[in-house]
Amino acid sequence: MPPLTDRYPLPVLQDPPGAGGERPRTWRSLEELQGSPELARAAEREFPPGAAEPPRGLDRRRFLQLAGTTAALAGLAACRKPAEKVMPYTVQPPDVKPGIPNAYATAWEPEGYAAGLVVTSWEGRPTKVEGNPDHPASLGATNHVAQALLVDLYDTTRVRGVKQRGTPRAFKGYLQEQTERASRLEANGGEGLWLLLEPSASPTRRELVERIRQRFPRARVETYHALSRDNVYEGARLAFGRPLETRVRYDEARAVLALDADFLTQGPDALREAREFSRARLPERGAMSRLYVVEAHHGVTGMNADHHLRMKPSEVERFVLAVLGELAKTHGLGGLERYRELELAWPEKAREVRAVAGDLARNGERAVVVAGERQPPRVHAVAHLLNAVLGSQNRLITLYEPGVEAVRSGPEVLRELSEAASAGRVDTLVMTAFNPVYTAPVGVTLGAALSAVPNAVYLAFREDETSKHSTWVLPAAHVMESWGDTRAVDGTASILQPLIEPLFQGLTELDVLSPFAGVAAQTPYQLVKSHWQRQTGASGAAFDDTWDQWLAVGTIPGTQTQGTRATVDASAVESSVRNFAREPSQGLELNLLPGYKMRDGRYFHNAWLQEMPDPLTMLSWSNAALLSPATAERLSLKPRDKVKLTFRGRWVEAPVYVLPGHADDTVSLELGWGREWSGDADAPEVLGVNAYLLRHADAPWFADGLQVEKLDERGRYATSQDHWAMEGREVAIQDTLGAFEKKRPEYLKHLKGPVEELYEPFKYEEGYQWAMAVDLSRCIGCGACVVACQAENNIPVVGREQVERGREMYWLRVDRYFEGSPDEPRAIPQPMMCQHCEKAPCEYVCPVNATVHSDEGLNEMVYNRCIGTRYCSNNCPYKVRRFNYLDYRPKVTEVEKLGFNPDVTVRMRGVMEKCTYCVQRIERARIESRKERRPIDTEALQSACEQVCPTEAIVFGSLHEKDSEVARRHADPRHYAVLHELGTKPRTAYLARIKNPNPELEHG
Amino acid sequence: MAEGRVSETPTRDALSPLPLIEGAQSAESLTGSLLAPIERKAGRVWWALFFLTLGGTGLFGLAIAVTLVRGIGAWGNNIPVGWAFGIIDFVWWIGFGHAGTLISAILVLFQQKWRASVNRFAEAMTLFAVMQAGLFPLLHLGRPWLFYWLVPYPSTMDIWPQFKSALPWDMVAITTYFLVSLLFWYLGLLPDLASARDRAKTPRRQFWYGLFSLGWTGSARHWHHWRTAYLLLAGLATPLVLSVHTIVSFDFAIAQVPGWHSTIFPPYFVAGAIFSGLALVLTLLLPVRGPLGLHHVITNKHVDILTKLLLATGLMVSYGYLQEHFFAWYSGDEYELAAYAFKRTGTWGWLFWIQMCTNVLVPQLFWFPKLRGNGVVVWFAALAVDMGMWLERFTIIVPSLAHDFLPKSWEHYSPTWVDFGLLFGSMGFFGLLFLLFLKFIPPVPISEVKELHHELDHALREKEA
Repeated sequence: MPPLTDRYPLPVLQDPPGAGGERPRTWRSLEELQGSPELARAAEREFPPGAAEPPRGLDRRRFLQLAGTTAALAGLAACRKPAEKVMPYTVQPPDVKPGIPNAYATAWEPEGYAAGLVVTSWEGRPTKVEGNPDHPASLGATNHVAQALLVDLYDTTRVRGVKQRGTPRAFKGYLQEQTERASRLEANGGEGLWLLLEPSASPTRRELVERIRQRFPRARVETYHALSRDNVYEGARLAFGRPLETRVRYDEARAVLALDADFLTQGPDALREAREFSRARLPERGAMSRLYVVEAHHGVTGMNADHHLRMKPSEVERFVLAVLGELAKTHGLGGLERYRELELAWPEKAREVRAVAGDLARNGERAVVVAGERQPPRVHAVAHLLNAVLGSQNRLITLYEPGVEAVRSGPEVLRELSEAASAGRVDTLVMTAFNPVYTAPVGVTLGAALSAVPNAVYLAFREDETSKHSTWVLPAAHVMESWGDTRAVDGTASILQPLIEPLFQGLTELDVLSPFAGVAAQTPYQLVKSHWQRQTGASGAAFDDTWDQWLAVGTIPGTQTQGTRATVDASAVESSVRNFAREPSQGLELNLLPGYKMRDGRYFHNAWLQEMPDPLTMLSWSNAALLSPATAERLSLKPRDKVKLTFRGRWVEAPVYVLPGHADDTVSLELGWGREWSGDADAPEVLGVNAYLLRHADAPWFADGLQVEKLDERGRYATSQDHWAMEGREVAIQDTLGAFEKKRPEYLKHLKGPVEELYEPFKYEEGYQWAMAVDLSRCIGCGACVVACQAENNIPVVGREQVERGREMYWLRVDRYFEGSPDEPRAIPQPMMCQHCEKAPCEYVCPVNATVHSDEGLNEMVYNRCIGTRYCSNNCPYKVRRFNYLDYRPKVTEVEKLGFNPDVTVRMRGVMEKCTYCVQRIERARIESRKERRPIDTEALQSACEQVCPTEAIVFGSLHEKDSEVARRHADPRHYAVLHELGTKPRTAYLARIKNPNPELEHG
Repeated sequence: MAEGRVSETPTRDALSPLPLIEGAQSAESLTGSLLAPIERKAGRVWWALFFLTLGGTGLFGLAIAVTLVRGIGAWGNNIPVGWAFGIIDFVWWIGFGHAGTLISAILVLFQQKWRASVNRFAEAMTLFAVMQAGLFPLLHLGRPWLFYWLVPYPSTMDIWPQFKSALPWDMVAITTYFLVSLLFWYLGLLPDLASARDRAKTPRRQFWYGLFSLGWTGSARHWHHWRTAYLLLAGLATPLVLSVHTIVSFDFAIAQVPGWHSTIFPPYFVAGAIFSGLALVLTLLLPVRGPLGLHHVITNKHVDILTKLLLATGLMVSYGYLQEHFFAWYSGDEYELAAYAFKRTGTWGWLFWIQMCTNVLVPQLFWFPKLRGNGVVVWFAALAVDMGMWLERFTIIVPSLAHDFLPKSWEHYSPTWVDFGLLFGSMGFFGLLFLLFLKFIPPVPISEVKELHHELDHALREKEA
């Protein structure tokens, strides 16, 4: 691999002259740069320095200088507002070539902590998000949400410009007014000043907040997030005496007990943990791990469990205590002596408890217990205790001091704010947290309270419930428009650099806070840079070099910490366990889940995430009340029946979705839905059910006492897979480790190998032979690949009604099957895309040669030639071809057009389309290799789905390289071809999913 | 026999219970009665039907416009059900077309005398049905304006159609079929157009019939050439009866969709097509022969023969059904078994069982001569078969696609108003063309009936002598 600076050229800005004096609002404008002597020199020459020679081989300093000038020049034309016409460069910067994309490193904060990104940019237009391979919390992958960030960036419904009570104002006006107000507030120590921020690991923001605290000692600075991690920190406080972040090395673990913990997709380090977890799931790598998931609903982690132990959410606590008791009594684990006398057993679950405890005890320091964010602190404390006594705390777990302010940040904060505001004790309120009015719990009428605040400032991405009640509404900048900084859980710091000038005059959190911190004169760029300059102690040009290097790499070297040590306070945990009152849960339980796609609701307006099918339910465009098959039968409910869910006197109406593997007597409902979607529809429609209407501050996640009443209406939801059984067909193959080992040499022999053919088959011998392999053992079914494929290939969103009609356009979908009984199913996800059959059934039925085969094994789709008979789709046994039934892009705004990948044709109505194995990436790599007179580096060439995959489940490459990963997987004993018996000879191989169940719990 | 000589004896064989021509007829009376429908003024019923079918045609136009403006998405099709109403309607209409060619061409070669009075009728029906059928594959394209890429023409792009696919063959087969049917029909029409011209009383009629009769004088040379050409065209049209629906069946049979991939399809489709065509002939013939005063030439004998043919082809079709399901079972292929089980018991199982009643059970009525002679029974039975054959195409196309290899792909299908608009609209357009045909063209070939009359007369006289 070339050094990083080569891979990610820099959009570095030079400090504008006279910075620090008056505050210039635009940092890439012509006016600023015309003052630069460096630029003037560059403009005098015919060619800018380095234009005539390739950048390779330059020394670092020189390169960075060039790159800096380049980006500055690029700013002239590339970052202009899209409403204007693009002008040709008068002086073409050497690094920004039309038609050649650049990649820039930055980061975002999905859950308060950093995840590194590398964003592809075409002449200043970001088009594709990738993970940063050098960032510890990304490792090159992203989740599904990061892939969809671009939709938000180019969303034209964003707040435009600063508004005071609906009247447009200049940002200067805001600064002036707030600076004055701040000076007034300073006089009384900040009495009446409230800040409502989101948890963030940003060091610069922390510095600003510190300054505000010093300046206004009596101000209230609160963090709020509807999906707060309070339980995590409280649990750590209980066990260790202080809040800590826990990171688990799942690749080393042999037994994992997840207590309502969706650690594969949620939590600040989920991407890394998912990758490490998947590496322990391969039978060929020696001992496999075994995962027990105890939960009520059926989440992504639950789908990957060897044993999915379903129970009401409130019973998880009881379960872990029973495991604790079993470990103390039967296994006599050292450190648990004091629990031997306690009556912790749970007779109904004795079998499961015995098996789990036995497995944990056997694996000792390689066994780990993890608790989910929704479980009460005691569960976390017990998990910490068990890890300590098992020994895994030293072997598998690293503890980190939290990078965010680990203070209480749940719904309770809003209640206090609401009370203070109603009582007129709030003069100035600065809100940068997402939509508190919408996410507020029952009983907190924040909207009305806000109206009583004379100066309520809200940094909003879109007009919403909160902005209606705010005095000042400021347009929030997208992460790709912002300067900032952040840290990963392990302390690794990153600088956020903008990819594009704010499209709608967006402002960052730092902008909003600056007048209160007394730094209103400084731009976020200056704030961040000066913060880090003080950290390094370097100055001037020396620091500029370092700074540029950081931006290029995407991380700040040397900021990673080694973690911290802490010991479990055994007596504190013990007294907590003794206090546990075993009150059996009565009747039905309400179980509120963080939205898998919506999170707390902030991605509600993101069309890609709306349309992406949920990994388990395959629902898109709405949520639903999830019930187990047994409970649905008991309540005589059928799928799509509408029910009235009444909880503590308040009710919502929701359609019923019967989810196999869901716990009985529990109804799960995702948060983040039930708002108005304006989208393309003529009339706005409410999508899904707003579960916040049932959320109470004292029961933020689950509680019993839910009543379900069947209504006469039928509910509505769109799902892309109604049929969940595999009908005994060998499609997505799942086996136990024992069965696999027994059959190993002959494993799945009937599903691979040559097929008999009537005619002499074409011999694929020459050159590259593109192929793919999907390891179902690694795949966790998170769905990031679905959105990545959509972003890479300009795949349209079709909307709710079209999904209901079965016309979704995904080139890559993740099918989800269940095996076994509906109550205790084994779920299996299967990414399915064009298999690039060597004998493709689609090709011979096309009347016009619109789909043909390349000698490199690609099944190619010629859009220009397609007349839309749909014969190919009929004959495709995998049904991976997608047809443009309608014009799915009737109204693309000029802004939205910026987000298209220019390498991929935007298809018109009436044309068939499908996965191309990212042929545009192959061709780009081919062009590069030809220029350099070398073969294509097939290992570096990645399809979009491969690149995004957190667990390396998908690999793409050429079979002609026998030592490539794809060739190795094509020879793996677990490999097979889906529908092999049809003789299509697919180029995509699947590797069977091997499970490692506990023999003690095996059914039948 | 000289024109105009009055035959006093009824042209009937005393041993044959049902005559082909009823009553005491002369050549003159035949000409007069057979030209009467086009020489009379249109009645109220005709106008009522005309406006009804005109409305249907309007609906058709609207549905076509919506399809072209919005795209195929205006229909109910999806993935996996890429083909649905469009192709069902296509196969249904093209199937109807088969009876015409069968009656006119094959029966000419087999010298079946009875065909004389119904062949014009059947051929017109063929033409109009093929016109409906031909529209659907074009409308069905995602980009219909590029339909000509299906035609093997020397394009500047140097690309030919892909002959491994059944669709270019479809294009060729349908076009050929339409052209040959048109020529054959028109050729048969020449002497009658001349008769209409000769009897025309207004200059406009004289002009138009004169124009289209191409200067026919009825000379021996004309007759000689005409007969040769007619026979040749009959020979040319005969293989088409078999080829068109064989090729249409390839659309399905060459695909590997469970429920489509079957070698029985070509003969089974041809039998089905003729079956439906005969049913449509009966459906149209029975109600019009009274008002048009054609009872004397389209007799119960014709109905009797047609119903017998209906029974015979119905049995062939039933055998096809049996074979389909038997081979699905016999193959032991899980996908085939599942597809056929779904066809019988799945979402659209009720349509399958209706189809079994109409296409298998209903034709069994015609074992009984009494029922064959009952016009009402025959008409309703024929109507049931018409509908049943639409259902047959539905149960072949939709359930098979909706229930293929990967259970993930299984998807429901529901048609939209545009789908129904096209189906009923095409019926309206067909009806409109048919009404115009009845009004302007002699619906029964006069010369052939007269010839038949002469032959029958002659044979009877010889017998008596």
